[in-house]
Amino acid sequence: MSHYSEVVIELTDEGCLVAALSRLGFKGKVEVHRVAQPLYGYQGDMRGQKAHIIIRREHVGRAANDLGFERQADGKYRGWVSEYDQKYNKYDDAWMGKLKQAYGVEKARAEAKKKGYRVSEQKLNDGRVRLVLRR
Amino acid sequence: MSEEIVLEFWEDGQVNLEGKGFKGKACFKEMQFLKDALGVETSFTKKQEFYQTEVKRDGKVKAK
Repeated sequence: MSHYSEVVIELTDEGCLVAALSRLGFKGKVEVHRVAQPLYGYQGDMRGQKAHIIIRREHVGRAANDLGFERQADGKYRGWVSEYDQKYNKYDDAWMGKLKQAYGVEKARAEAKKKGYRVSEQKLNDGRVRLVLRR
Repeated sequence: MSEEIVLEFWEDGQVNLEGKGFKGKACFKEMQFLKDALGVETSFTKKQEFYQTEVKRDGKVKAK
């Protein structure tokens, strides 16, 4: 018997999150910290939020603020994106969905390889990404 | 039929997983590591097309 499952992706893996951000154009522009570091606003002002994974504002867009992901006590990452960058730099819910998509692809590839699967990847016309695992 | 797992990742952060060619409960076991790694399972559907039958009005039975 075979079956279908639907899963909502959660961000928990540091390496895969960095790889996903690289897929979205931030290759070589992602800071990774063992201890959460402060985020800064577009005028260089320190914000109240901290993050373990950070993209500094100069890489985010015009008049942008730092973009960060803070690891919570339960191991899940919480994204910090300013209201301005959500509205004017398009780091909105749609972008976060694409980030989760890229993260899921990276995470599934990594876990499948550990289990000895061969993985093929295909980008579909409607935006979906299909992975086929075989062994 | 060879065993394979197909994952389709949507742009809204959802993923559909489908196991193909597995026998018995092997499919559950084989796909669990992916579900655990990716997030929270929101729906689950068994595929029964291989042993379903359709009864037609004239009494004939047609295998799907």
